[in-house]
Amino acid sequence: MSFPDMAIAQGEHCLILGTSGTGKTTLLHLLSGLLSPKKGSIHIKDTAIEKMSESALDAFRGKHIGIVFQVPHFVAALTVSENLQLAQKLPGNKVDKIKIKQILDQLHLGHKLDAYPSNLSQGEKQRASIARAIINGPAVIFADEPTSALDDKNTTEVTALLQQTAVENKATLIIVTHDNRLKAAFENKIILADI
Amino acid sequence: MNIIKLAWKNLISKPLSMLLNLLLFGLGVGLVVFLLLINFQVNQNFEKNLAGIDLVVGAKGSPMQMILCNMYHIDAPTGNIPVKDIVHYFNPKHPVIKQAVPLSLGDNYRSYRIVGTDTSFLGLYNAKIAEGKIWYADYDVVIGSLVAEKEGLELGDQFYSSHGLVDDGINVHDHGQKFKVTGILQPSQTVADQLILCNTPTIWAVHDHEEGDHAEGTHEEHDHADHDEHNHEDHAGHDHDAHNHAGHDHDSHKEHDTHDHAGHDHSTSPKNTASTFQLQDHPDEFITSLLVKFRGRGIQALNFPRAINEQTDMMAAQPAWQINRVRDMMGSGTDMLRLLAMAIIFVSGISLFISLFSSLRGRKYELAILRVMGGSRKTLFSLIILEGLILAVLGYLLGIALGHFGVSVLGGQLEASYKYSFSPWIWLTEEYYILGVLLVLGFVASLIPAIKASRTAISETLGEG
Repeated sequence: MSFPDMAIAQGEHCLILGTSGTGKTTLLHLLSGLLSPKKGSIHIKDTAIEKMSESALDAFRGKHIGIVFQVPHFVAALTVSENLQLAQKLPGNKVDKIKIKQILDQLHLGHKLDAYPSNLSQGEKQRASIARAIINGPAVIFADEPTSALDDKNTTEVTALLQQTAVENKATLIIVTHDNRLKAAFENKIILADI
Repeated sequence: MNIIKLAWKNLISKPLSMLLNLLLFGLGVGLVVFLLLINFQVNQNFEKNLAGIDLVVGAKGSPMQMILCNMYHIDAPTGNIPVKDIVHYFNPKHPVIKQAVPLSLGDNYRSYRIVGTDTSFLGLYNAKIAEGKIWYADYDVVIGSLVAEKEGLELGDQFYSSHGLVDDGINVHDHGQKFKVTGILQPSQTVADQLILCNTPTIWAVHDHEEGDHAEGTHEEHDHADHDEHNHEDHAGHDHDAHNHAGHDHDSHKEHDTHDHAGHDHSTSPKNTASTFQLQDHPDEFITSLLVKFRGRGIQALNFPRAINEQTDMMAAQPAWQINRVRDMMGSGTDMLRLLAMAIIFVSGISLFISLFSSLRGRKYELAILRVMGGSRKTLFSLIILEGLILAVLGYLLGIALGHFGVSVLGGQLEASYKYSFSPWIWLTEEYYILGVLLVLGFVASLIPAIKASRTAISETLGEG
C-alpha cells in the first residue's frame, strides 16, 4: 500500500476522501504514528516522527496529536472528567481541571463532567472524544470517520465543532472519511484512488 | 489522575471479581497468620511454664498426661502418691534435688483449679503478690490475676469449691468451710495466673469432708478429733493411732500442740499455718505430684528419673522431653493446616492471574486508547502489575485482619482448654515475610498479563472499530 506525497500547512483544514479499501485508516494511523511506515517520511511540527523511539513517539502523540476515532473508546472505569485528566497526565502535562471544564462547556458537555462514558449517548461520546483530542492543545487533529455513526443533524454539529475547535486551537484538522455529507463543508480535499 | 489511581479505579469497577480475589488471598493469609499466632503463643506458653522444672514425680500412668496435668493444668491427674514415699526428697542435703514443690489437685472454683502446695510454688513461676498476703491458715487462698479478673474476686471474698477439675455445677461443696481470698497475684503470664493456690492440708480437709459424708452438716463446729477420725477411715493402717486425743503429747505433730481439741475455733487459732506445717509430718497423706528442680545435670541427675521409675511405684517424667513430644504431635496437625493455607494462597495467585488475563480481552480498546493518549508500553505494563499488587496487598491486609480476629474469637475457646490466654494483639516478624511473599506472588501472577497488555497492537485494535 502506498500513498501520494501530501503537505498540509499548519492551521489548514483538509478532507481525505476515499471509498472502502483505499487505506484511509492505514493512512491516518501512519500520520498519527500508530503505525510506522516501511518507506517514506512523516513530518509533524518539523519532526520526522518515524525516526522517533516508540516511547518518545507515544509522548509526542499525547502532546501534539489529537485523534477522534470512528467509534469512541474511553477508560470505562473513569468519568469523563477523569478520562480527560488522564489524557493531560499521560504525556506529562499538568492536570488542569479548569481547562477541562472550559472545553466540556464549549462542547456542551459541561453537565456530563462526572458521568461515566457508558452513560453517554452516541453523540455525547463523539463530542467527549473531541474534547479528549483537543485537551492538550494539539498541533494537528486527526478524525477517522467521525460522522459515520451519526445522523444528519449530529453530523453537521460534529463537523462544525471539529472545525471550530481546530480554529480556536490553531490546529491543523485532517478528516479521513467516505461520508459525502462532509464534502460541502471543506474546500481542501484529497481523494484517495482505489488500489 | 495517575496510574495508581487508574489501577484502583479499574479494580473497583469490577467489584465481584475483586471481592473473589480478596477473599481468596484473605483466607489463605488469614489461616497462615492464625496458625502462626496460635503456634507462637502455645510454644511461648510451654516455654514460660517450664519454669526451670527438671522433673515431675507422680503416680504411674501416662508421663505426658502427668506433665500436662501438673505443669500446664490441662489434663487429669494420673493418681496420687503417698507422702511417705517422697519425704526424703525434701531433705535439704539430697544429692540431686535442689528444690521439691508438692502439688495436690482435685478441686476447682468455676473451672479454675485449686492447687494445694507450699509457698515455694510462687518462686517457681516468679509470681508475686499484688494485693493482700500469702495464705496463712487452711482455706486461705491466693488467686491468680486472671481468676481475680474473670471471676471478679477481691480480697476477703469467700467461695465454695467444686469437686473435680472442671466445674460441672453438680459437685459443689456447698457445705463445709468456705475458701477465703487472702491474696491476689500479679500477672506472671504463666499458668499461675489461672490457678487458686492454698496450702496442702486444705485439699486434704476438703476431701475428708467430702468422703466422710457428714449427716449432721455442721462442719464449722467440728473439732480436730473428727478430722483425725476421717483420716483413719480413709487411710486404714496409718500411724495416727498413736494420737491421744485426751491431752496427747506428740512430738512430730507440732501444730497439734497448740490446738484445743475440745471445740477449737479455726479463725482464731488456725492449724497448719505457713510457719508450722511440714509435709514431712504427714507421711500417711497423699499428694498428686512433686515438681522437682535439680542441683545440676550430673550423671546422678540423669539416672535419677530412671531410678524412680524402676525402683518405686511412682513415675518420674522430664517436662522438656514430654513437651517436645506434644509439639511433635501438634506440629503434624499444624503442618497439614499450613499446607492447606499455602495451597489456598497459591490458588489465589492463579485466580489473580486468570482474572487479570481474561480482563485484557475486554480492555483492549482501553489499552490502545491509553497509548493514543500518550501512555507508553511501560505505562500499560505498570498498570496491570499495579492492579495485581494492589489486590495482593489488600488481600494481605484482609488476611492479617482475619487471622488476628480469628485468634480473638477462637482464643477464648482455646483459653479454657489450654489454660492460657491467646492475645490477638501480638505481631510476629513472619507477618512481614508474608507481605513479601504476597508481593512476589502478586507480581508473578500479573507478569504475563502485563506483558500481553504492553504488546497490545494499537493500530490493529483501533482499526477494528
